[in-house]
Amino acid sequence: MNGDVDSFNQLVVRWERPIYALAYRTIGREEDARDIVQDTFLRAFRALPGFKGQAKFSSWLYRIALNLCRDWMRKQRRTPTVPMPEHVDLVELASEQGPVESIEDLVARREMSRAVALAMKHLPDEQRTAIILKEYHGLTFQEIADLQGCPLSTVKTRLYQGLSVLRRQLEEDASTRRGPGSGSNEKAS
Amino acid sequence: MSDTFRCDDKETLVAYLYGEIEPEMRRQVDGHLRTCTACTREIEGLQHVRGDLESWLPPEPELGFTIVQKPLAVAVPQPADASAWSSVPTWARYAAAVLVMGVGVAIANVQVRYAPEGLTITTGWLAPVERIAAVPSTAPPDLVQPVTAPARDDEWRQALAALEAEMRQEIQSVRQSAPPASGFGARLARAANENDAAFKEMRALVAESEKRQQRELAIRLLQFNREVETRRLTDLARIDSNFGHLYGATGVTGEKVNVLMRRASNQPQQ
Repeated sequence: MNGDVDSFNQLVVRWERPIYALAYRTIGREEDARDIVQDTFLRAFRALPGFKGQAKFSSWLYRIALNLCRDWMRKQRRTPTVPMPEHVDLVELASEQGPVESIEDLVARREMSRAVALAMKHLPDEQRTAIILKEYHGLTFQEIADLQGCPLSTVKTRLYQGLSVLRRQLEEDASTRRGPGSGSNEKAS
Repeated sequence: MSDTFRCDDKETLVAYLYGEIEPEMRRQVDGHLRTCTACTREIEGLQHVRGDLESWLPPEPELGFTIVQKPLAVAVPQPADASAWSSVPTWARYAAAVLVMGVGVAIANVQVRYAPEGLTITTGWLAPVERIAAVPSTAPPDLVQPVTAPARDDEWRQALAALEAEMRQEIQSVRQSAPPASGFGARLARAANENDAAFKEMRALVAESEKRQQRELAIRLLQFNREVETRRLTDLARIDSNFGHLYGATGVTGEKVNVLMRRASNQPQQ
């Protein structure tokens, strides 16, 4: 049993960050994403005797985490909370500045990150999850189809539709940030 | 999936975008993109979105989540109230024992006196005074010499020493001979045998207790070593993971710098 715990803890170290990234990008809240990571590994450990290796361990973890995210989102829809406003604090940014990235680059990256996060919120859950699994976790179409319980063609459609919506949203956001009168170079979408 | 790529075949376009496409179909899409401006623009737009998505990084979390197993209880029989006493320090236990004994003595009104007429022990419930030198009336007169209360201390000591020597001699003779059937000697022999048995039992208990403690110590040491080893492996894996993350972040930053430099070099000078 101790061997199981030791081995499992090594798997936790290997997978806790990817699972956190998945949870954070899916639900968008740091604290709750951490809770989901904890619940994911607890559930996985308890269900470990039933895991027969029919799927990859990572896929199994992703499934548990996605189910928890889905439960969390359902609960949030029933009792919505006001999200914290996101401020861009230049002092804070300067303290985080790395040796390579200038403050201007950092601000631009933060702005883009914020814009992506905002645009992702507009997507339906299935499209957003498919994009997250594909873009940030490198899953194959088939693995996403298995996780989402849908045909392969549906995964591709979800990806295409999601990316198309993101493209429009990000182009609108970019034109808004550039301000009026600077849209002459905009691409026609 | 059709054999020839068409503009409205978005599934194949996505497969091409992510590189999960058959080589033959890839060639068809490549050929189509050379002639179709709309599809070329679309695929470039989607690739640009994918580039933008890279900027969305999750915050660095403080995780360090580990499964901890509760230590197994050692199978040592414990008294019912062991858990209550286990939290009490040893000195407090001794103090409590002394206190209880003192209270018991006080309740029994035990009095110990050493007077010229001899050592006396009295209790509140047993009013008659018992002299320690008193000889039981049932003892055979030929084996035990009656001792009267000596008037002087030296006589009392000599009488006590004589009695002790006589008893030792008697015990020795009983041990050497066959077990007597009855009499005071038999009782002494039985008592000696019982004492021996009690000592043996006590030694056995002490030996067993020592073995048990050694076993517990070994179990604890084993458990401790295992926990240290687990922690070491976990730390190593974490360090490895952090290094990997750092390398990844450095690579991403370098890639972004390259992209920015390419963009800057492509922009016209103002």
